[in-house]
Amino acid sequence: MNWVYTIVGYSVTFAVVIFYTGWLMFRGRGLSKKVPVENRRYLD
Amino acid sequence: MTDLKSIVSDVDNISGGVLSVDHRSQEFFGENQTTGSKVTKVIGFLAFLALVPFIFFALFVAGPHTEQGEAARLLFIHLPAVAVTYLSFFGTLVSSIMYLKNRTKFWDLLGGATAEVGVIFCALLLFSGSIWGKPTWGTYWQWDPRLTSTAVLFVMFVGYLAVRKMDIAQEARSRRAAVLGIISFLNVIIVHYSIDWWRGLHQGRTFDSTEVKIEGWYLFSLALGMSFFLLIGTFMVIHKFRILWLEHQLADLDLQFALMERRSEVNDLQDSIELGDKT
Amino acid sequence: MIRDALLIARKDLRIELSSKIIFGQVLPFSLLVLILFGLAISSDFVVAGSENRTVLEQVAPGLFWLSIVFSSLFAITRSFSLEDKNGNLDALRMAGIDPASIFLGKALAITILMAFLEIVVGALAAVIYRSSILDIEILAATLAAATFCISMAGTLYAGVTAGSKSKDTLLPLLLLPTMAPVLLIATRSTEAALFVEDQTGWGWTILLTVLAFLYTGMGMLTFGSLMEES
Repeated sequence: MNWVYTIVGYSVTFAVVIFYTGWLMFRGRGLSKKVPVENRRYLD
Repeated sequence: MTDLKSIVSDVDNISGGVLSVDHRSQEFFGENQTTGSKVTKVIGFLAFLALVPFIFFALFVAGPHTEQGEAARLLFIHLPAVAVTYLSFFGTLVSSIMYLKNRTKFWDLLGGATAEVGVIFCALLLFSGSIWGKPTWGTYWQWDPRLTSTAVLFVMFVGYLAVRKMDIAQEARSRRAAVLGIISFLNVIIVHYSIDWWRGLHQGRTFDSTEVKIEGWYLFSLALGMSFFLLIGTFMVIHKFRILWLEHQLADLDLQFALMERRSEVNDLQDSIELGDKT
Repeated sequence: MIRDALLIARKDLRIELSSKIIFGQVLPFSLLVLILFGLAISSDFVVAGSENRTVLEQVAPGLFWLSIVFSSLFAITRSFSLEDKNGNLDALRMAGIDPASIFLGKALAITILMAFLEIVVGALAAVIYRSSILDIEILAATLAAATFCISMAGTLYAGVTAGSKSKDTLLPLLLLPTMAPVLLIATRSTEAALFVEDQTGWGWTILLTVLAFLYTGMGMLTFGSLMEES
Protein backbone atom coordinates (compact mmCIF):
# COMPACT_ATOMS: atom_id res chain seq x y z
CA MET A 1 0.00 0.00 0.00
CA ASN A 2 2.92 2.26 0.63
CA TRP A 3 3.63 2.48 -3.07
CA VAL A 4 0.71 4.92 -3.34
CA TYR A 5 2.73 7.47 -1.40
CA THR A 6 5.69 6.90 -3.66
CA ILE A 7 3.60 7.35 -6.79
CA VAL A 8 1.95 10.52 -5.52
CA GLY A 9 5.26 11.93 -4.34
CA TYR A 10 7.09 11.23 -7.58
CA SER A 11 4.29 12.41 -9.86
CA VAL A 12 3.71 15.70 -8.05
CA THR A 13 7.45 16.41 -7.86
CA PHE A 14 8.09 15.71 -11.51
CA ALA A 15 4.94 17.54 -12.55
CA VAL A 16 6.20 20.64 -10.74
CA VAL A 17 9.74 20.34 -12.11
CA ILE A 18 8.65 19.77 -15.69
CA PHE A 19 5.92 22.40 -15.59
CA TYR A 20 8.22 25.04 -14.14
CA THR A 21 11.03 24.24 -16.56
CA GLY A 22 8.60 24.41 -19.46
CA TRP A 23 7.16 27.68 -18.23
CA LEU A 24 10.64 29.20 -17.93
CA MET A 25 11.56 28.19 -21.47
CA PHE A 26 8.24 29.43 -22.83
CA ARG A 27 8.53 32.78 -21.10
CA GLY A 28 12.13 33.06 -22.22
CA ARG A 29 11.04 32.60 -25.79
CA GLY A 30 8.31 35.21 -25.43
CA LEU A 31 10.61 37.79 -23.89
CA SER A 32 13.39 37.16 -26.41
CA LYS A 33 10.98 38.02 -29.18
CA LYS A 34 10.08 41.31 -27.54
CA VAL A 35 13.54 42.62 -26.78
CA PRO A 36 15.58 43.87 -29.75
CA VAL A 37 18.66 41.83 -30.42
CA GLU A 38 21.10 44.62 -29.58
CA ASN A 39 19.78 44.78 -26.05
CA ARG A 40 19.97 41.10 -25.42
CA ARG A 41 23.55 40.71 -24.43
CA TYR A 42 23.72 39.19 -20.97
CA LEU A 43 26.44 39.44 -18.39
CA ASP A 44 27.68 43.01 -18.46
CA MET B 1 5.09 45.05 -29.16
CA THR B 2 6.55 44.58 -32.63
CA ASP B 3 5.80 48.24 -33.21
CA LEU B 4 7.96 49.08 -30.25
CA LYS B 5 10.78 47.01 -31.63
CA SER B 6 10.75 48.65 -35.06
CA ILE B 7 10.28 52.14 -33.66
CA VAL B 8 13.13 51.63 -31.25
CA SER B 9 15.48 50.41 -33.93
CA ASP B 10 14.42 53.20 -36.33
CA VAL B 11 14.98 55.92 -33.77
CA ASP B 12 18.11 54.18 -32.64
CA ASN B 13 19.53 54.22 -36.16
CA ILE B 14 18.60 57.86 -36.73
CA SER B 15 19.87 59.09 -33.42
CA GLY B 16 23.12 57.21 -33.64
CA GLY B 17 22.49 54.44 -31.21
CA VAL B 18 21.26 56.57 -28.35
CA LEU B 19 18.72 54.00 -27.29
CA SER B 20 20.94 50.96 -27.07
CA VAL B 21 21.34 49.99 -23.49
CA ASP B 22 24.88 48.93 -24.08
CA HIS B 23 26.44 50.32 -27.22
CA ARG B 24 29.36 47.95 -27.10
CA SER B 25 27.06 44.96 -27.07
CA GLN B 26 27.49 42.26 -29.62
CA GLU B 27 24.87 39.83 -30.62
CA PHE B 28 25.65 37.34 -27.93
CA PHE B 29 23.02 34.96 -29.08
CA GLY B 30 22.62 36.10 -32.65
CA GLU B 31 19.06 35.92 -33.82
CA ASN B 32 18.33 33.39 -31.07
CA GLN B 33 14.71 33.71 -30.11
CA THR B 34 14.93 31.94 -26.77
CA THR B 35 16.81 32.20 -23.50
CA GLY B 36 18.54 28.97 -24.33
CA SER B 37 22.17 28.66 -25.32
CA LYS B 38 24.76 25.98 -25.89
CA VAL B 39 25.39 25.78 -22.17
CA THR B 40 21.78 25.26 -21.23
CA LYS B 41 21.25 22.81 -24.04
CA VAL B 42 24.14 20.71 -22.75
CA ILE B 43 22.86 20.89 -19.18
CA GLY B 44 19.34 20.07 -20.26
CA PHE B 45 20.53 17.11 -22.27
CA LEU B 46 22.59 15.79 -19.37
CA ALA B 47 19.63 16.22 -17.06
CA PHE B 48 17.51 14.17 -19.39
CA LEU B 49 20.25 11.58 -19.58
CA ALA B 50 20.19 11.32 -15.81
CA LEU B 51 16.42 11.29 -15.59
CA VAL B 52 15.68 8.17 -17.61
CA PRO B 53 17.93 5.75 -15.72
CA PHE B 54 16.94 7.49 -12.50
CA ILE B 55 13.29 6.60 -12.94
CA PHE B 56 14.24 3.09 -13.97
CA PHE B 57 16.58 2.44 -11.06
CA ALA B 58 14.67 4.33 -8.39
CA LEU B 59 11.33 2.78 -9.09
CA PHE B 60 12.18 -0.65 -10.42
CA VAL B 61 15.67 -1.94 -9.95
CA ALA B 62 16.12 -0.92 -6.34
CA GLY B 63 13.88 -3.29 -4.44
CA PRO B 64 11.81 -2.21 -1.47
CA HIS B 65 13.98 -1.07 1.40
CA THR B 66 14.53 -3.67 4.08
CA GLU B 67 13.39 -1.43 6.92
CA GLN B 68 11.11 1.11 5.38
CA GLY B 69 9.50 -0.56 2.43
CA GLU B 70 8.41 1.21 -0.67
CA ALA B 71 8.22 4.72 0.68
CA ALA B 72 11.98 4.97 1.18
CA ARG B 73 12.20 5.63 -2.55
CA LEU B 74 10.87 9.07 -1.80
CA LEU B 75 14.23 9.83 -0.26
CA PHE B 76 15.69 9.76 -3.77
CA ILE B 77 13.67 12.92 -4.37
CA HIS B 78 13.71 14.37 -0.89
CA LEU B 79 17.46 14.40 -0.30
CA PRO B 80 18.31 15.92 -3.69
CA ALA B 81 15.61 18.54 -3.10
CA VAL B 82 17.32 19.41 0.19
CA ALA B 83 20.64 19.77 -1.62
CA VAL B 84 19.27 22.02 -4.34
CA THR B 85 17.36 24.14 -1.81
CA TYR B 86 20.39 24.75 0.39
CA LEU B 87 22.66 25.43 -2.57
CA SER B 88 20.16 27.85 -4.09
CA PHE B 89 19.63 29.81 -0.90
CA PHE B 90 23.36 29.88 -0.29
CA GLY B 91 23.61 31.32 -3.78
CA THR B 92 21.09 33.97 -2.79
CA LEU B 93 23.21 34.84 0.23
CA VAL B 94 26.38 35.16 -1.83
CA SER B 95 24.57 37.18 -4.50
CA SER B 96 23.14 39.52 -1.88
CA ILE B 97 26.55 40.13 -0.34
CA MET B 98 28.18 40.64 -3.72
CA TYR B 99 25.41 42.98 -4.83
CA LEU B 100 25.90 45.19 -1.81
CA LYS B 101 29.60 45.31 -2.61
CA ASN B 102 29.47 45.81 -6.38
CA ARG B 103 25.93 47.02 -7.14
CA THR B 104 25.86 45.25 -10.49
CA LYS B 105 22.76 43.96 -12.22
CA PHE B 106 24.35 40.52 -12.45
CA TRP B 107 24.39 39.89 -8.71
CA ASP B 108 20.99 41.43 -8.20
CA LEU B 109 19.30 39.19 -10.76
CA LEU B 110 21.27 36.13 -9.73
CA GLY B 111 19.88 36.60 -6.23
CA GLY B 112 16.39 36.71 -7.65
CA ALA B 113 16.87 33.62 -9.79
CA THR B 114 18.43 31.51 -7.04
CA ALA B 115 15.77 32.58 -4.56
CA GLU B 116 12.92 31.57 -6.81
CA VAL B 117 14.43 28.18 -7.62
CA GLY B 118 15.21 27.73 -3.93
CA VAL B 119 11.62 28.43 -2.92
CA ILE B 120 10.31 25.91 -5.43
CA PHE B 121 12.67 23.19 -4.28
CA CYS B 122 11.99 24.05 -0.66
CA ALA B 123 8.31 23.44 -1.31
CA LEU B 124 9.21 20.14 -2.97
CA LEU B 125 11.45 19.28 -0.05
CA LEU B 126 8.66 19.87 2.46
CA PHE B 127 6.15 18.01 0.32
CA SER B 128 8.34 14.98 -0.34
CA GLY B 129 9.47 14.85 3.28
CA SER B 130 5.89 15.00 4.47
CA ILE B 131 4.74 12.27 2.08
CA TRP B 132 7.70 10.16 3.17
CA GLY B 133 6.83 10.72 6.80
CA LYS B 134 3.32 9.32 6.60
CA PRO B 135 4.11 5.70 5.80
CA THR B 136 7.42 5.78 7.66
CA TRP B 137 6.50 7.46 10.92
CA GLY B 138 2.71 7.47 10.64
CA THR B 139 2.31 11.21 10.40
CA TYR B 140 2.54 13.92 7.75
CA TRP B 141 4.10 16.39 10.15
CA GLN B 142 6.33 16.52 13.20
CA TRP B 143 7.32 19.54 15.24
CA ASP B 144 10.97 18.61 15.16
CA PRO B 145 13.70 21.24 14.70
CA ARG B 146 14.64 20.50 11.15
CA LEU B 147 11.15 20.29 9.72
CA THR B 148 9.82 23.35 11.53
CA SER B 149 12.80 25.52 10.72
CA THR B 150 12.56 24.44 7.07
CA ALA B 151 8.95 25.58 7.01
CA VAL B 152 10.02 28.93 8.41
CA LEU B 153 12.85 29.08 5.84
CA PHE B 154 10.26 28.60 3.09
CA VAL B 155 8.05 31.43 4.28
CA MET B 156 11.01 33.76 4.80
CA PHE B 157 12.15 33.43 1.22
CA VAL B 158 8.61 33.72 -0.08
CA GLY B 159 8.76 37.08 1.70
CA TYR B 160 12.08 37.81 0.00
CA LEU B 161 10.49 37.18 -3.41
CA ALA B 162 7.60 39.48 -2.46
CA VAL B 163 10.06 42.25 -1.54
CA ARG B 164 11.75 41.84 -4.92
CA LYS B 165 8.41 42.83 -6.48
CA MET B 166 7.72 45.88 -4.29
CA ASP B 167 6.56 48.97 -6.08
CA ILE B 168 9.46 51.27 -5.28
CA ALA B 169 12.38 52.49 -7.37
CA GLN B 170 14.40 49.64 -8.84
CA GLU B 171 17.69 50.53 -7.18
CA ALA B 172 16.16 50.84 -3.74
CA ARG B 173 14.27 47.62 -4.30
CA SER B 174 17.39 45.69 -5.25
CA ARG B 175 19.30 47.05 -2.30
CA ARG B 176 16.61 46.24 0.23
CA ALA B 177 16.21 42.77 -1.23
CA ALA B 178 19.94 42.20 -0.85
CA VAL B 179 19.84 43.33 2.78
CA LEU B 180 16.86 41.08 3.35
CA GLY B 181 18.67 38.17 1.72
CA ILE B 182 21.47 38.42 4.23
CA ILE B 183 19.19 38.98 7.22
CA SER B 184 16.93 36.08 6.27
CA PHE B 185 19.91 33.75 6.22
CA LEU B 186 20.93 34.88 9.69
CA ASN B 187 17.40 34.54 10.97
CA VAL B 188 17.03 31.04 9.61
CA ILE B 189 20.09 30.02 11.61
CA ILE B 190 18.57 31.63 14.70
CA VAL B 191 15.27 29.84 14.13
CA HIS B 192 16.96 26.50 13.65
CA TYR B 193 19.02 26.70 16.81
CA SER B 194 16.14 28.00 18.94
CA ILE B 195 13.87 25.14 17.93
CA ASP B 196 16.73 22.70 18.30
CA TRP B 197 17.39 23.90 21.84
CA TRP B 198 13.71 23.69 22.65
CA ARG B 199 13.25 20.20 21.32
CA GLY B 200 16.51 19.05 22.76
CA LEU B 201 15.28 19.79 26.22
CA HIS B 202 12.14 17.77 25.76
CA GLN B 203 12.96 14.87 23.53
CA GLY B 204 15.70 13.73 21.26
CA ARG B 205 15.56 13.95 17.50
CA THR B 206 12.48 12.03 16.49
CA PHE B 207 12.95 12.38 12.80
CA ASP B 208 16.05 11.94 10.79
CA SER B 209 15.78 11.00 7.17
CA THR B 210 19.51 10.39 7.00
CA GLU B 211 19.27 7.49 9.41
CA VAL B 212 18.18 5.29 6.55
CA LYS B 213 20.91 2.91 5.51
CA ILE B 214 21.73 3.65 1.92
CA GLU B 215 23.95 1.30 -0.01
CA GLY B 216 24.14 -0.72 -3.20
CA TRP B 217 21.43 0.04 -5.75
CA TYR B 218 19.96 2.55 -3.36
CA LEU B 219 23.15 4.55 -3.36
CA PHE B 220 23.29 4.44 -7.13
CA SER B 221 19.69 5.60 -7.48
CA LEU B 222 20.34 8.38 -5.03
CA ALA B 223 23.39 9.46 -7.02
CA LEU B 224 21.33 9.54 -10.20
CA GLY B 225 18.65 11.53 -8.42
CA MET B 226 21.21 14.00 -7.14
CA SER B 227 22.66 14.41 -10.61
CA PHE B 228 19.30 15.02 -12.17
CA PHE B 229 18.13 17.53 -9.60
CA LEU B 230 21.38 19.45 -9.49
CA LEU B 231 21.46 19.66 -13.28
CA ILE B 232 17.84 20.69 -13.64
CA GLY B 233 18.27 23.18 -10.80
CA THR B 234 21.20 24.82 -12.58
CA PHE B 235 19.20 24.83 -15.80
CA MET B 236 16.36 26.61 -14.03
CA VAL B 237 18.60 29.22 -12.42
CA ILE B 238 20.26 30.09 -15.73
CA HIS B 239 16.96 30.42 -17.56
CA LYS B 240 15.34 32.39 -14.75
CA PHE B 241 18.36 34.70 -14.60
CA ARG B 242 18.07 35.40 -18.30
CA ILE B 243 14.34 35.97 -18.04
CA LEU B 244 14.93 38.50 -15.27
CA TRP B 245 17.59 40.15 -17.43
CA LEU B 246 15.23 40.44 -20.40
CA GLU B 247 12.46 41.80 -18.21
CA HIS B 248 14.89 44.38 -16.94
CA GLN B 249 15.83 45.38 -20.50
CA LEU B 250 12.19 45.57 -21.44
CA ALA B 251 11.42 47.84 -18.51
CA ASP B 252 14.31 50.07 -19.54
CA LEU B 253 13.08 50.20 -23.12
CA ASP B 254 9.55 50.95 -21.99
CA LEU B 255 10.87 53.77 -19.87
CA GLN B 256 12.93 55.21 -22.70
CA PHE B 257 10.00 54.90 -25.08
CA ALA B 258 7.73 56.70 -22.61
CA LEU B 259 10.32 59.44 -22.21
CA MET B 260 10.55 59.74 -26.01
CA GLU B 261 6.80 60.09 -26.22
CA ARG B 262 6.77 62.68 -23.50
CA ARG B 263 9.50 64.69 -25.20
CA SER B 264 7.76 64.59 -28.56
CA GLU B 265 4.57 65.80 -26.88
CA VAL B 266 6.40 68.74 -25.38
CA ASN B 267 8.01 69.51 -28.73
CA ASP B 268 4.63 69.49 -30.45
CA LEU B 269 3.28 71.82 -27.82
CA GLN B 270 6.19 74.18 -28.19
CA ASP B 271 5.83 74.15 -31.96
CA SER B 272 2.17 74.99 -31.79
CA ILE B 273 2.85 77.84 -29.38
CA GLU B 274 5.54 79.24 -31.64
CA LEU B 275 3.29 79.04 -34.65
CA GLY B 276 0.84 81.12 -32.71
CA ASP B 277 -1.98 78.63 -32.54
CA LYS B 278 -5.03 80.15 -31.07
CA THR B 279 -6.15 76.77 -29.72
CA MET C 1 23.69 59.28 18.60
CA ILE C 2 21.75 58.21 21.69
CA ARG C 3 20.59 61.77 22.10
CA ASP C 4 19.20 61.83 18.56
CA ALA C 5 17.51 58.49 19.14
CA LEU C 6 15.91 59.76 22.34
CA LEU C 7 14.77 62.87 20.48
CA ILE C 8 13.02 60.79 17.87
CA ALA C 9 11.55 58.46 20.48
CA ARG C 10 10.22 61.41 22.42
CA LYS C 11 8.64 62.82 19.26
CA ASP C 12 6.86 59.55 18.54
CA LEU C 13 5.69 59.19 22.13
CA ARG C 14 4.35 62.73 22.15
CA ILE C 15 2.40 62.02 18.99
CA GLU C 16 0.96 58.94 20.61
CA LEU C 17 0.04 60.94 23.69
CA SER C 18 -2.10 63.26 21.63
CA SER C 19 -3.47 60.82 19.07
CA LYS C 20 -3.95 57.87 21.42
CA ILE C 21 -3.98 55.33 18.63
CA ILE C 22 -2.04 52.65 20.50
CA PHE C 23 -4.04 52.97 23.69
CA GLY C 24 -7.35 53.74 22.08
CA GLN C 25 -7.34 51.22 19.24
CA VAL C 26 -4.52 48.71 19.47
CA LEU C 27 -5.02 47.97 23.15
CA PRO C 28 -8.70 47.07 22.71
CA PHE C 29 -7.65 44.87 19.83
CA SER C 30 -5.17 42.99 22.00
CA LEU C 31 -7.78 42.48 24.70
CA LEU C 32 -10.28 41.33 22.11
CA VAL C 33 -7.82 38.75 20.81
CA LEU C 34 -7.47 37.34 24.32
CA ILE C 35 -11.21 37.00 24.59
CA LEU C 36 -11.55 35.43 21.16
CA PHE C 37 -8.92 32.87 22.10
CA GLY C 38 -11.01 32.05 25.14
CA LEU C 39 -14.00 31.43 22.90
CA ALA C 40 -12.08 29.48 20.31
CA ILE C 41 -10.35 27.18 22.77
CA SER C 42 -12.49 24.94 24.84
CA SER C 43 -11.63 25.09 28.51
CA ASP C 44 -13.53 22.02 29.52
CA PHE C 45 -10.58 19.68 29.47
CA VAL C 46 -8.09 19.47 32.28
CA VAL C 47 -4.50 18.92 31.29
CA ALA C 48 -3.08 15.82 32.88
CA GLY C 49 -0.16 16.29 35.22
CA SER C 50 -0.55 20.04 35.49
CA GLU C 51 -2.22 20.66 38.81
CA ASN C 52 -5.72 20.76 37.37
CA ARG C 53 -5.18 23.45 34.82
CA THR C 54 -7.59 23.51 31.91
CA VAL C 55 -6.31 23.59 28.36
CA LEU C 56 -6.93 27.33 28.14
CA GLU C 57 -5.02 28.02 31.34
CA GLN C 58 -2.16 25.82 30.23
CA VAL C 59 -1.68 27.61 26.92
CA ALA C 60 -2.30 31.08 28.38
CA PRO C 61 1.35 32.19 28.03
CA GLY C 62 1.31 31.33 24.34
CA LEU C 63 -1.99 33.10 23.80
CA PHE C 64 -0.70 36.20 25.55
CA TRP C 65 2.38 36.37 23.34
CA LEU C 66 0.35 35.71 20.20
CA SER C 67 -1.88 38.64 21.06
CA ILE C 68 1.14 40.84 21.67
CA VAL C 69 2.90 39.81 18.45
CA PHE C 70 -0.20 40.50 16.36
CA SER C 71 -0.78 43.84 18.08
CA SER C 72 2.83 44.81 17.48
CA LEU C 73 2.15 44.68 13.74
CA PHE C 74 -0.25 47.57 14.20
CA ALA C 75 2.08 49.47 16.48
CA ILE C 76 4.97 49.18 14.03
CA THR C 77 2.86 50.09 11.00
CA ARG C 78 1.53 53.09 12.89
CA SER C 79 5.02 54.21 13.86
CA PHE C 80 6.13 54.35 10.24
CA SER C 81 2.92 55.80 8.88
CA LEU C 82 3.73 58.82 11.02
CA GLU C 83 6.64 59.43 8.65
CA ASP C 84 4.65 59.03 5.46
CA LYS C 85 3.55 62.63 5.11
CA ASN C 86 5.94 65.22 3.73
CA GLY C 87 8.79 62.78 3.38
CA ASN C 88 9.67 62.88 7.04
CA LEU C 89 12.26 60.15 6.87
CA ASP C 90 14.18 61.99 4.17
CA ALA C 91 13.91 65.17 6.19
CA LEU C 92 15.36 63.44 9.23
CA ARG C 93 18.22 62.13 7.13
CA MET C 94 18.94 65.54 5.66
CA ALA C 95 18.98 67.04 9.13
CA GLY C 96 22.10 64.97 9.57
CA ILE C 97 20.67 62.35 11.84
CA ASP C 98 22.40 58.98 11.62
CA PRO C 99 20.11 56.28 10.22
CA ALA C 100 21.06 54.08 13.14
CA SER C 101 19.70 56.77 15.48
CA ILE C 102 16.45 56.93 13.54
CA PHE C 103 16.23 53.16 13.82
CA LEU C 104 16.92 53.19 17.56
CA GLY C 105 14.59 56.09 18.22
CA LYS C 106 11.61 54.61 16.47
CA ALA C 107 12.24 51.17 17.92
CA LEU C 108 12.54 52.65 21.38
CA ALA C 109 9.18 54.39 21.09
CA ILE C 110 7.58 51.17 19.91
CA THR C 111 9.19 49.30 22.80
CA ILE C 112 7.84 51.68 25.42
CA LEU C 113 4.35 51.65 23.95
CA MET C 114 4.37 47.86 23.66
CA ALA C 115 5.58 47.59 27.25
CA PHE C 116 2.57 49.51 28.50
CA LEU C 117 0.37 47.39 26.28
CA GLU C 118 1.84 44.20 27.69
CA ILE C 119 1.24 45.21 31.26
CA VAL C 120 -2.43 45.87 30.67
CA VAL C 121 -2.95 42.86 28.43
CA GLY C 122 -0.97 40.68 30.82
CA ALA C 123 -3.09 41.75 33.74
CA LEU C 124 -6.27 40.88 31.87
CA ALA C 125 -4.78 37.59 30.70
CA ALA C 126 -3.89 36.65 34.25
CA VAL C 127 -7.48 37.29 35.25
CA ILE C 128 -9.36 35.54 32.46
CA TYR C 129 -6.90 32.69 32.15
CA ARG C 130 -6.64 32.37 35.91
CA SER C 131 -2.85 32.48 36.02
CA SER C 132 -0.85 33.00 39.14
CA ILE C 133 2.66 34.34 38.86
CA LEU C 134 5.23 32.21 40.61
CA ASP C 135 8.32 34.11 39.58
CA ILE C 136 7.77 37.78 38.83
CA GLU C 137 11.43 38.44 38.06
CA ILE C 138 11.60 35.98 35.20
CA LEU C 139 8.33 37.37 33.91
CA ALA C 140 9.58 40.94 34.00
CA ALA C 141 12.85 40.02 32.32
CA THR C 142 11.00 38.07 29.65
CA LEU C 143 8.65 40.95 28.94
CA ALA C 144 11.53 43.37 28.62
CA ALA C 145 13.72 41.19 26.41
CA ALA C 146 10.93 39.96 24.15
CA THR C 147 9.57 43.48 23.66
CA PHE C 148 12.97 44.67 22.49
CA CYS C 149 13.18 41.69 20.12
CA ILE C 150 9.81 42.47 18.58
CA SER C 151 10.37 46.20 18.25
CA MET C 152 13.92 45.98 16.89
CA ALA C 153 13.10 43.33 14.29
CA GLY C 154 9.82 45.04 13.50
CA THR C 155 11.44 48.43 12.90
CA LEU C 156 14.03 46.77 10.69
CA TYR C 157 11.41 45.13 8.50
CA ALA C 158 9.32 48.28 8.45
CA GLY C 159 12.41 49.94 6.99
CA VAL C 160 12.60 47.23 4.33
CA THR C 161 9.00 47.73 3.27
CA ALA C 162 8.71 51.49 3.74
CA GLY C 163 7.44 53.47 0.78
CA SER C 164 5.70 50.57 -0.89
CA LYS C 165 1.96 50.37 -1.35
CA SER C 166 1.94 46.79 -0.13
CA LYS C 167 3.87 47.48 3.06
CA ASP C 168 0.89 46.65 5.27
CA THR C 169 0.74 43.09 4.00
CA LEU C 170 4.46 42.66 3.53
CA LEU C 171 5.41 43.57 7.09
CA PRO C 172 3.60 40.63 8.73
CA LEU C 173 4.95 38.25 6.09
CA LEU C 174 8.50 39.32 6.90
CA LEU C 175 8.24 39.86 10.64
CA LEU C 176 6.30 36.81 11.75
CA PRO C 177 8.69 34.09 10.54
CA THR C 178 11.51 35.98 12.23
CA MET C 179 9.44 36.19 15.40
CA ALA C 180 8.97 32.40 15.48
CA PRO C 181 11.94 31.84 17.81
CA VAL C 182 11.00 34.85 19.92
CA LEU C 183 7.48 33.54 20.34
CA LEU C 184 8.81 30.11 21.15
CA ILE C 185 11.32 31.25 23.74
CA ALA C 186 9.15 33.94 25.32
CA THR C 187 6.33 31.45 25.77
CA ARG C 188 8.62 28.86 27.33
CA SER C 189 10.04 31.49 29.63
CA THR C 190 6.60 32.77 30.64
CA GLU C 191 5.44 29.22 31.27
CA ALA C 192 8.38 28.80 33.58
CA ALA C 193 7.48 32.01 35.38
CA LEU C 194 3.86 30.95 35.84
CA PHE C 195 3.95 27.22 36.35
CA VAL C 196 7.34 26.10 37.55
CA GLU C 197 8.98 26.67 40.89
CA ASP C 198 12.60 26.30 39.86
CA GLN C 199 14.96 28.60 37.95
CA THR C 200 14.83 27.02 34.47
CA GLY C 201 13.16 30.11 33.10
CA TRP C 202 16.39 32.09 33.27
CA GLY C 203 17.98 30.09 30.49
CA TRP C 204 15.24 31.16 28.14
CA THR C 205 15.39 34.73 29.30
CA ILE C 206 19.10 34.92 28.63
CA LEU C 207 18.49 33.57 25.11
CA LEU C 208 15.88 36.26 24.57
CA THR C 209 18.31 38.94 25.69
CA VAL C 210 20.92 37.64 23.25
CA LEU C 211 18.35 37.73 20.47
CA ALA C 212 17.39 41.29 21.39
CA PHE C 213 21.01 42.39 21.00
CA LEU C 214 21.26 40.50 17.68
CA TYR C 215 18.20 42.19 16.21
CA THR C 216 19.32 45.59 17.46
CA GLY C 217 22.69 45.09 15.83
CA MET C 218 21.14 43.96 12.56
CA GLY C 219 18.91 46.99 12.52
CA MET C 220 21.57 49.54 13.35
CA LEU C 221 23.97 48.18 10.75
CA THR C 222 21.50 47.93 7.89
CA PHE C 223 19.14 50.84 8.37
CA GLY C 224 21.50 53.14 6.51
CA SER C 225 21.40 50.97 3.38
CA LEU C 226 17.66 50.62 3.67
CA MET C 227 17.04 54.35 3.85
CA GLU C 228 19.29 55.33 0.96
CA GLU C 229 17.47 56.96 -1.93
CA SER C 230 14.17 55.60 -0.81
